[in-house]
Amino acid sequence: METKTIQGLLTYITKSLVKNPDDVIVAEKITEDGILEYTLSVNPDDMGRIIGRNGKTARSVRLLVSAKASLENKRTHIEIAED
Amino acid sequence: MKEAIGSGITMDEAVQDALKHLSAEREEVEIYPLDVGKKGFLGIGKRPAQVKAILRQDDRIRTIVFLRNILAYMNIDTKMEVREEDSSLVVVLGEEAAPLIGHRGQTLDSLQYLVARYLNEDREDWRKVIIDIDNYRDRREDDLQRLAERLAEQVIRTKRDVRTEPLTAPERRIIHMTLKENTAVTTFSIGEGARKRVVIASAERSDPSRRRQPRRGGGGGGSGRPPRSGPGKGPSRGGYNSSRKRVARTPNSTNR
Repeated sequence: METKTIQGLLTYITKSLVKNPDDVIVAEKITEDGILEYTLSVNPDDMGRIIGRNGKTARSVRLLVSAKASLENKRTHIEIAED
Repeated sequence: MKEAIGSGITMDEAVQDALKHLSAEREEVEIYPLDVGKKGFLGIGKRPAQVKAILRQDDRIRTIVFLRNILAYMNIDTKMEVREEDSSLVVVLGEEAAPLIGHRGQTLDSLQYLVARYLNEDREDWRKVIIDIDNYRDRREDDLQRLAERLAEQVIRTKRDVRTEPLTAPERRIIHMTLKENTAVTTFSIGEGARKRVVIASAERSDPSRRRQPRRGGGGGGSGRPPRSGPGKGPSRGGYNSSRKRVARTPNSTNR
């Protein structure tokens, strides 16, 4: 298991849901307002899997990640890279 | 990869090696010994121990491992009970997992959805998963039943319809079922997607069947639209959405 960071959780959940876990890349940066911003890239074939019907999967991942972040008094924003 | 061969000086090491290849936990795999190995003498006749590890496709184990990993990332240490119920997999976590309930169960529903997605990735039949934390779902059901009764009394007393705040499908169902036998009121859903609410209306004022109008366009899920009460604010938003005062708040079971 990777370290128990927010990035680690996001990476783990994403890899568990896609067909090509090796193509998952999660980049982290901190905005000026102190929000942790993650950019998630997956294999183009897995875009549907990570977004889900009406964005339900992406929304669920965001909620779970923000639950972890709020335990650490942090705020997060997750962007899914378009290609 | 569904299986891997691991080798090492001892059987234990061989098992660990195989697990590493699969990035799996011990309970996720079935281990078949291939070769117990030989220590040999002065390096002559030395042979490593070998095992084959096959990933188990057991729903129960895959669910437990997936959840346990998520909980580990959250630094939440809690007990986990898993049982089968009407072909669903029911997982109950202890109160330590309460941070995962979220506002009116939103985070819990997300977790439940992701586990179901993970479990059902490769199959046609959808295995239903229910995740509960410290009886949250029962408490929420009790709260919603009480709310429904209270709102029904209010509707009968004031002759004014009320609507709940947005509820999920199982939550709306609880309201409908609670008031099914109550002939003084009628219930129906309005709104779309995550914004769906239940309207509790007096049955006296009009025949419930006349309230229901044909479904418009896609979606809607059989929700009837309420009659226009007074000057409506547009074709899709009846009087219900334009009056914030009549929104009935549901109790928040997250914080006890």
